[in-house]
Amino acid sequence: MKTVSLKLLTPHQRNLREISEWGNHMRKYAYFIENNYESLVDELTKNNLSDEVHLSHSLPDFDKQLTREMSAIAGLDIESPEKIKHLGTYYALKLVQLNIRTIDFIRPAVVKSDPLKTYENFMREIGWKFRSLTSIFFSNVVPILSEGLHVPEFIIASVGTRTDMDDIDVAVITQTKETGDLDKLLSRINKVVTKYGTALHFHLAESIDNGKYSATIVEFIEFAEKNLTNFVFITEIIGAKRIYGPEGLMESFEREVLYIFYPDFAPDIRFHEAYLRQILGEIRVYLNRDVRTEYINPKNDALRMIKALITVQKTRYGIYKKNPWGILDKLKYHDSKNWDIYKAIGESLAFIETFRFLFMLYGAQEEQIYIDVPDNIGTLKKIAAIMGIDSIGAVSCLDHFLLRYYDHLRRVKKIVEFMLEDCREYLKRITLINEILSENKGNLAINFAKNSGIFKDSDFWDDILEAFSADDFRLLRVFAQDYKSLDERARKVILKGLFTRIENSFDGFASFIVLLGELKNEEAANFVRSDFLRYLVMSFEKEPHLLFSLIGFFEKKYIELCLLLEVIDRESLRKIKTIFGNLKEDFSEKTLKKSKNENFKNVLNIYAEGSRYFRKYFQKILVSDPWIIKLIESEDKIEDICSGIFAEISRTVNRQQQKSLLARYYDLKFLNIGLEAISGRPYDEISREFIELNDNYLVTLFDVCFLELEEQKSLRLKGEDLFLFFVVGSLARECSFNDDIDLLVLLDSEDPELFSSYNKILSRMSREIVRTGTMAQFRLADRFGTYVTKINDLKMLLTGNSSDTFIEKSQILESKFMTGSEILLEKFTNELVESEIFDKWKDFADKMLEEVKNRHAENPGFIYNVKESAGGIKDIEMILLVFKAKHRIIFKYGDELVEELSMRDKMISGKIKTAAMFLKQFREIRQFMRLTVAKTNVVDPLELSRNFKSSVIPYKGENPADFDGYYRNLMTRSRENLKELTDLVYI
Amino acid sequence: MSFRYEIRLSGAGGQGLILIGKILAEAAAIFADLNATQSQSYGPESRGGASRSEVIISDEDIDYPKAGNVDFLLAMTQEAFDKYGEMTKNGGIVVYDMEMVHTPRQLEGVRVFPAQITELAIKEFSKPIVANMVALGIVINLSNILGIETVKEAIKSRVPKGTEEINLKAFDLGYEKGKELQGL
Repeated sequence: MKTVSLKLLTPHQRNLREISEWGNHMRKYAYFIENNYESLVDELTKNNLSDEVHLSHSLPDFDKQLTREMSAIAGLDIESPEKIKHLGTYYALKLVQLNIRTIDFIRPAVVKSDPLKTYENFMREIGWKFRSLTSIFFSNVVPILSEGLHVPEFIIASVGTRTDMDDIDVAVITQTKETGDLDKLLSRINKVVTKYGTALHFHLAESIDNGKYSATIVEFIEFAEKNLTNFVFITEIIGAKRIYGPEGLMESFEREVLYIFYPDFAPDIRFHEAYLRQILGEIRVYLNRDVRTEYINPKNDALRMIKALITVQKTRYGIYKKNPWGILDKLKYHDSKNWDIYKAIGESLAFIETFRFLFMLYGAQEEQIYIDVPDNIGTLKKIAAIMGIDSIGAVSCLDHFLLRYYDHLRRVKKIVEFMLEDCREYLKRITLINEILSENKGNLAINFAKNSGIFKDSDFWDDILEAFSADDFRLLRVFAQDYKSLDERARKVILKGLFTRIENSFDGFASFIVLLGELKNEEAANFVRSDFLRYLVMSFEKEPHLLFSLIGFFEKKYIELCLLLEVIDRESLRKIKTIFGNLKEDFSEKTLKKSKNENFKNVLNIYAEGSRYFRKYFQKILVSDPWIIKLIESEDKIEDICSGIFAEISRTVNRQQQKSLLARYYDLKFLNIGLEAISGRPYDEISREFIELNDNYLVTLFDVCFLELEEQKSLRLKGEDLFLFFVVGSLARECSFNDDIDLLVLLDSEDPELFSSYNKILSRMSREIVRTGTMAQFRLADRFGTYVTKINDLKMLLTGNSSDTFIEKSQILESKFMTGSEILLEKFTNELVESEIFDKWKDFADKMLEEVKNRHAENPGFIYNVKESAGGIKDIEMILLVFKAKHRIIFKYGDELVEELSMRDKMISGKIKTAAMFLKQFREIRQFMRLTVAKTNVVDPLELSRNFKSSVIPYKGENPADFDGYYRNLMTRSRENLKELTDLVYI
Repeated sequence: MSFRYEIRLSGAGGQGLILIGKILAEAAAIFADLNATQSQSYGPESRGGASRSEVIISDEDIDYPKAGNVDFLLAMTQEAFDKYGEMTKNGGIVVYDMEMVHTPRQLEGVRVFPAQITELAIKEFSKPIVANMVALGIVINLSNILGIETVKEAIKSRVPKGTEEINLKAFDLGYEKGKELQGL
């Protein structure tokens, strides 16, 4: 049995024991207490103050007793440094006791009453007591430290979170610039509080940057006017609470500085609006953050959002209270329709704030708390116990705590999202934007730039974008025309103004550029857009870290980012790519950022290096499956999703849905294979995968269309044993990323109804294929005017006297059987192919070789067309067909065909293998061209040499001239090889 | 003769620069009885991922808390180096992390020390997170502004429980690295 020590500790021992339980950063209090306690006791005893000053116990009447006791110490007749030391020790003791007492209180209270209310009470109590302690400490040390100094009247106001014992953010406010020895005094105060208590931070003074710790009321106003959008500064001002100094001065400060951000008090709404935009933009940033599971960060996960929202509502409803729960209580009355929301926010705030406070006490003063770190696990369990969260059965208190934590986060996000909409509506009502965007006030572009102060530095441009979009983009048109009408100098001024500090309003600005794309057919809008884009790229060059804003924009608005990238020219995109490549990723949140950066990099790569043909697929997928962008870094994940979608087709009954699933499968898989190809996956694998995709797609599509027709006609469609469905052309030749899908469908029946039904199936297939962005070409359709060709008609064509049937014959020779009757296939081969193609192979060869000759005659010199060039793809494919006919081979393709030919004809063995090797290289070059440059057969060595990654071609250089040389040499060798092969055709 | 020494620690959020700023300030104020102020990046700049902590140490009253004449710059990112490198005072010291700063600009009138900071932390401790302590060791050695034991006391009073040993080891490693950088 576990033994529990019941030894009663003295209050002093208890203090020290509790400190030892806390984080290392609290050790300094133990240090002072242990080093100075005895001398303080001696001093108090010597002055008969032992009964007046309670060193060991917490104070029931906190404020009064604290004031009295600290004054007693301050009144000791000893040297100042000694007095400061005693006051510091007393402060340390009281701070420790304050923590102990409130934690002692919370433990039983959470069991007895509503835990969330208990947390709130805990935070309220610890907040005001800490401020009170600090304030009384200041009141006692400042007079001592000011001895011999001349200082004007001043106040020290706390401007940050009052329970943060890590540091105290303060503003020092004076009426006069003649501050005498005030800086000296503040330096001393800071030293004392850093040593014995909590260090001061003078952020406001640093912002104003007047070379002092303090600033006058006038300086505060001037700074606020010039920095309308510095929301951190303004939030601190709005939250300012006096901790030292005369009330009158604080009142003046509130009246003259603080109230200008309240719309019902200040006549100039600019301050309120600019602040509101800032803070709403800030809220949105945090709303869009992903919540992580490996660590929690109360401040970034929720507290910043909650506090920002409270501040917005506080200024909006004219509430001057400082305590967040006090403000929420007021809001429940001022905005009673949202009573439940304010109650819920208060509860979540209490839970998260209590946790954060306790972690900072027991753990470390760190915001990011990794859950799987052993020391943190212990601390988290301890905190869970204090907060009344127990283990239940097999589920540990830590798990229970985390469940509650994430529940609160979910709730906070939901609420904030809802309230953001509410604030957006409010902003729309009060905004000065409508006035600024008035057409009757001169040039709109100038007005927009001139008044940008109220929305610059904020990402909250929703209403601005809405105003520009209204009435079919009426104002946007006016803006574009007004901008274009200006001379270059004026335009530069506007650009400079708008682009200064663009990182703070990047999302809004980027959305504005995207919006201009809505008028892409209008000259003025294009003019503005290209100016803005040029400036944007220049900004990236000047400030590479601005790209993090672009990544941020990508995380939140990925479709918009793609629209933006789509309109940036390729050269600029490549510049951006290079800048991005040189950026070091942010150290924080490394894994998350790495994944996001990878996603961004891949998307950027698609736009910078992908051909229009490939981008078209990407854009299409963005519309149907926008979430895919989050997986773009992982080809495996996309592959899993493709498999899932394909499996879903057979589980779906509705044919329309099946077709749409099939289209999604095709697009996603196409994208994935394309990404793999660009990243250098071996050509053979890419080719195999691409062919497999098309085979799956076509056979499934045929089945779906077949069944759909049956269902619509409510009959069982006959003729399964009477039709043959082939792919021909490049797809049959196992060539990836081709232009079209060539199909050949044969029917061995004269039944008009059956013929009509199969034509309908093919018509439906054709419609679906076109939707994938590829054309379905039905071979022989030109000759017979129908999708389906009757075998009898084909027989007549081939047996007739027509001399130009070698094309049809070559298509049959290269055809690949997809579905239909195996028996009919055999019959078709024996009856038609054997007699009309194999038996007459010499005629076929004559025509084919003549065609090659004619083509060469048309292009006598070297051409960059990888398909049509002498020695190019077409020549090789044709010679393979000639030998296929000669050696009576059908339904064999690629390597298998080459092997078969080599085996049957030893004379051509080596040369046919060489031809096949050249063919692979040319196809890979063409594939890369299509994915990265354009859907063309014309090789562009300059473009290709940039990123060429090959599994087939041993080319490794980056110099276009090298690539050109390599390519020319390849083509020459292929041409010579083919010439030798041609000489062997008739032997 | 009195002195005022300004240290700027700059880099990215998550590199622990605020923590070492606090350690420096507390080492000076609590354990060395000097005057010290510490300030850090606030607001929009810190939201963007950048992090900056400034510490001023003096044996006299510090009349202004903002660093304006930086004696020592620690740059843990390229951005920090680019932004603050040239603001370092003549005769000052600039240390940058070679792992994070790839294209250091030429700086006139200052002593520049490229150092393997993150790499060392990873190599020796498999934890990049202690790179800040390695950096602190280098700062202390090169600046010679505070005693090594004073700083160690402050480290023990600041770092999370259970991490004291590794942090102190990382600090020692950085201190030795500082010697090496000075050619001692």
